Amino acid sequence: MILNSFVELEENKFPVVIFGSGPAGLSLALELEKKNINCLIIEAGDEFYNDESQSYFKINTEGTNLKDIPNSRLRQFGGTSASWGGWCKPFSDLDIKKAGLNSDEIKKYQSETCKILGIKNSFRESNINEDFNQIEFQYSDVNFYEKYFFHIKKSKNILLLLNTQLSHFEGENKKVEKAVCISSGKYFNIKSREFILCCGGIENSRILLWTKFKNKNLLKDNSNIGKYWMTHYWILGGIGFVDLKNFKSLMQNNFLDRDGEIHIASNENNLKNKLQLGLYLSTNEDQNFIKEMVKSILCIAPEYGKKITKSILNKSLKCGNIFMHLEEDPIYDNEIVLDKNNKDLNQIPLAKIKYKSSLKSKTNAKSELEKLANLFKQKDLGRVALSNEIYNLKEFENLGNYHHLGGTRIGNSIEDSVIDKDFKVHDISNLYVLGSSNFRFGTYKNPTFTIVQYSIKLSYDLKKKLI
Amino acid sequence: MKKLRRKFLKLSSIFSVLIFTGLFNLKFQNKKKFVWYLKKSDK
Repeated sequence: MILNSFVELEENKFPVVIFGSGPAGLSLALELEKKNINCLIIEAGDEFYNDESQSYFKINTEGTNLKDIPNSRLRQFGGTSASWGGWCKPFSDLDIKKAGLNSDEIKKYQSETCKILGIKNSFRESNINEDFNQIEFQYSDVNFYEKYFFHIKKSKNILLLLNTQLSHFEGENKKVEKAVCISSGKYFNIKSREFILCCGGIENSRILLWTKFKNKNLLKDNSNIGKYWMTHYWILGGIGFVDLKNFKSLMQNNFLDRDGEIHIASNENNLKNKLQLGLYLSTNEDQNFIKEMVKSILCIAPEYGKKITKSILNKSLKCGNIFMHLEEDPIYDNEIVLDKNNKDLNQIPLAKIKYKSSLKSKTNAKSELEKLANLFKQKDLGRVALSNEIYNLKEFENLGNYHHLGGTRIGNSIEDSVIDKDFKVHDISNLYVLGSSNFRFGTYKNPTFTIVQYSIKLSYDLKKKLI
Repeated sequence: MKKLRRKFLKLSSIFSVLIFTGLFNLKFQNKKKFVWYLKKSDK
């Protein structure tokens, strides 16, 4: 049901208040509804995009330039799912264990996550050699508005209040008592039993930092809010030819045959101390692209150029760009802070990112691409060329930082994290955080799948707590 | 009005998907330089 304006609610009738209606918040609300638990969703934006609402998400960055941050955080119903299309893949057992969670438990929610995201539950991996696996993604283009808005409008268990900004939480004795919200310039308080913050990979940190600033006691020992912020770099690593016949033969019938890109990732069991990385070999049918590629190699390797011209014409050889998704190491000083010089229309400080890109991520990209190039050369799987920027470890062209990770990281201790393994803020009994801000490590995988999985887990935990 | 907005949203969402995943894939990056990893016999 949609509320036109705020009305006092009985605390026990709506025991859960969710702030944010993106994939994290909506997945939680839908799962709570299945368990007959009522909740209220507070969304700062409107039903659709508008420029004034989006102005609250203006952001300054200090340090390395980040690209497309404002376009990848939408302040509207459905959040960033309104302009999202993602290659989904769950975190591996190792990723989940590294976050301190039980991988068997998280995996239980995989099938439900696929239903929410409208994708097939198939994420095969096939070994290429000791360094690489061929991997399978599922592509989701679910728009949460289109899929769930009218369901929520009719729901008796879910109440939705749009155009209402969460300012901060207030409370004492390790408990949140109320959330202070603003609608049309007026302040009001929302009381409930459980408060769930799902406002996104930057906004979650900003709201907790503002809460800490406004309260003397709440969050006073939590010194890691906003810290260890990470992103994924989406870059062009190089170009290459792939001989599919030889590739399939090397993999002895374990090749994952799919149309379009060939997805390869670093073998996580063999990473030791290195970072993860996803490689996307686009296989292009465009004649101009093929001509340019052949021209490029004929100049420096005429013999190979002649050989491949024939193979390309009979379509046994594919060529294309090689894109990379780079994991970053979590660095304490990469952080979200309150920008005291820039405030929103309600005079609350906007977020600011202090960030320096990681050299480790660059050197890792170079060494893994070199390994791939050497593998292709030695096994005659095709040929790979590294972009000059990667080869020389220069600043590479960043195609976009669409994923915002960390800032309210998960962990066992308040000394190095913000929330515990139940997604509950350390030392506060009724405040939870959901979203990619929880991630302790970035991995190379798009975050949405894991965000939804974690939301489903919390719905079960809340059921146990409330009933 | 709402219908128009929805149409715009849908178009912008398709556009974003292309930017995120597709459009760049189709272009050969002429301005970039590449370092090929080749066998001696390729030359």
